[in-house]
Amino acid sequence: MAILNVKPTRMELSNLKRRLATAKRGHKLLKDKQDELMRQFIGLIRKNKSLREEVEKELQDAFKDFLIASAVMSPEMLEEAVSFPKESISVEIEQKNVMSVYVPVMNFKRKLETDAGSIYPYGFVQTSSELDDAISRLYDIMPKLLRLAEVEKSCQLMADEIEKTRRRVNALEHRTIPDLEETIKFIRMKLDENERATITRLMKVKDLINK
Amino acid sequence: MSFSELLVNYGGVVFGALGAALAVLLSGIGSAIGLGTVGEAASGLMIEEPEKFGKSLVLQLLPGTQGLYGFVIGLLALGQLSAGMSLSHGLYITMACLPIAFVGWRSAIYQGKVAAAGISILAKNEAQTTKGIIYSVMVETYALLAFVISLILLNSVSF
Amino acid sequence: MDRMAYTQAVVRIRVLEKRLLTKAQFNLLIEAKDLEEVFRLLDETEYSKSLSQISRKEDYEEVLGKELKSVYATAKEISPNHEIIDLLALKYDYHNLKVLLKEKFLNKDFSHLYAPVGSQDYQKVKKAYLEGDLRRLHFDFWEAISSAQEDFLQTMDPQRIDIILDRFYMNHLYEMAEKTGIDMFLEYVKALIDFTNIRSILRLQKMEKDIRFSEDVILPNGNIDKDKIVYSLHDSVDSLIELFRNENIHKFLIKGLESYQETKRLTDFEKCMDDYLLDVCRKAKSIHFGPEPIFTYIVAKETEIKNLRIIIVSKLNNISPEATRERVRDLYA
Repeated sequence: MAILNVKPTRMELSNLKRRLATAKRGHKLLKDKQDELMRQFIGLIRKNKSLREEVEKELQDAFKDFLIASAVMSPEMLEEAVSFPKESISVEIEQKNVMSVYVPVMNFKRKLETDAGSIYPYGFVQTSSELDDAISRLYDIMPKLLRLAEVEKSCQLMADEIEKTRRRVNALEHRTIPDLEETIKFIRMKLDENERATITRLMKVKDLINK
Repeated sequence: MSFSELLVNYGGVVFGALGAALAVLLSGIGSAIGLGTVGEAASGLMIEEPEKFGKSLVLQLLPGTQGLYGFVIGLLALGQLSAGMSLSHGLYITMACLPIAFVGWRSAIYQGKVAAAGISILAKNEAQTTKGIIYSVMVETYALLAFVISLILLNSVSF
Repeated sequence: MDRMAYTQAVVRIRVLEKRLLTKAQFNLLIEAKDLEEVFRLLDETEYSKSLSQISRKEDYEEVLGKELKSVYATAKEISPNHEIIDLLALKYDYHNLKVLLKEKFLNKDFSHLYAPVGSQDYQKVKKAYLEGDLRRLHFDFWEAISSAQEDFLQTMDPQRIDIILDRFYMNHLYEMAEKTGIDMFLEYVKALIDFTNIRSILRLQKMEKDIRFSEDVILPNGNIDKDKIVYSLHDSVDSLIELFRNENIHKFLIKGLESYQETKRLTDFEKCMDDYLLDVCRKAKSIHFGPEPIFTYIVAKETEIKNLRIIIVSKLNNISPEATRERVRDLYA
């Protein structure tokens, strides 16, 4: 805690008082924001966790399907079948504002929108239908996977924001406000002291005159 | 000398020789084919499992008997040949030789096939080989019957 | 075709057939509690030699690949006529053609994807193709590769490469089988076409494809008329069962279809398909003179390798013995 380097004048005092009031209001606002962010963050984290578990489980199942497909086909034929994809999928990213944090919103864009079977790029004679199942399962997980990416990124951005806000709140709470209060106290004391000195001086002068 | 005279004078020995030749020839060819078939099969077995040589030899020998029967009949027919034999005697010898000649020929080939199948049994399941041999021997019956008839025919009528 | 020319070959095949893994051995393998045990069991079989050459269990594919290669090598050595073996090796040729085309269009290195067991030496095919000298190839391959290439350059659709080559493969196979004049081969190929067609139709239904697409995918020359299958694209499984009830492959077919109806998966159907094809080949058991046993031996051996792969992959991923058993194919022996 330190006293700010200001001149102990009445002018400064009223300045500082104004600053203190602003700082206090700011502190309250930031505190509220932090609380709200925390609330949303915890919600997101929970969602993230459940989504993650879900996706991981489904991915595991899909991989199992894939392994079974690889068991009934020779590995060369399997890899050849999927070596040249027919469909290409891109991701569209938009932004959404949550408590002044810009979180991403992602969407798929398939090139061959009209063809439901475009995710299977192979012929039918040498491939097993288990491969179809595995691929369709993997494809079904994609939206969830995208949601997970979205939520995870949001969490990350939110965590950054919370960190920043907390630093600000702390700075205001432990530094700016005490400093300002101290300085105000100091100036007031100084001013009081001056006043008292003046009074004493006046009394002394009065005594001298009376004598 | 006209042809008919020639035939009457010397035809006997020619036909007699023809009979002997047919008996040896046809049954010999049959046996050779049969043996060849089984031999081929058996050599396939030898590549993978040479220790089964003994048993495969039994199977291979089976189609060989027809050739032997033909040979015996041929020899017997040969014994009856003489320069001045009559035409009817010569033709009779030819006829007597025909059963073993034809039956020996065909049966040896079929026996060879059965024996080759027997080699398959030997390859797959050694304990059951005897059954393969029995099947193969069944074919032998008819070669044997023909042999007996040929033998009886050769000796039953005296000229 | 001279049947007597195969006498020696058949006996050699009979001996080799004895070395196929038995049902009891497979049961033990399926019930094995982990991969360790599977390998220990395999160590007591024909596979022990190639097993000792790999250092990691995960390299099992190498063992299976080597086995497949040696099966074809042995068959080629035994058989007096390679056409029989080419009937089965042809699928690898067309696989190699697919790889070749995709490798070229993607400009990537797929050299690890070539199957080394085709009837043609794939390196020669590759060289001829890259040098633009297709005339050096067999006419059927030449025709197949140039039409697939032409089509791709027009549509830019990689799936068409597979579909076109598959069609050429089946036609080629059918012609080859017809040329041998052996009933069993023709029956095998026809059954293969039928099962593949019906499986394709079911898969196309799932993928929501249209008639025009299925017209390209469904193959001619089967027992069941091509059009009959193509126009059943929008039928339910029930009516498919009715439709095919009178076909001569119906016993296995209906079994597969019924299980599909229940589970919506073609796992059983594919098992029925392989089982039926092996069943067709079983006729060779009573044939002592002719090429059928050689063909059947390769089919049996390919089935065995497939089964081993299913078991090993299952063990690697802790799939239960029941689920494994569901997929393991019938054995020849």
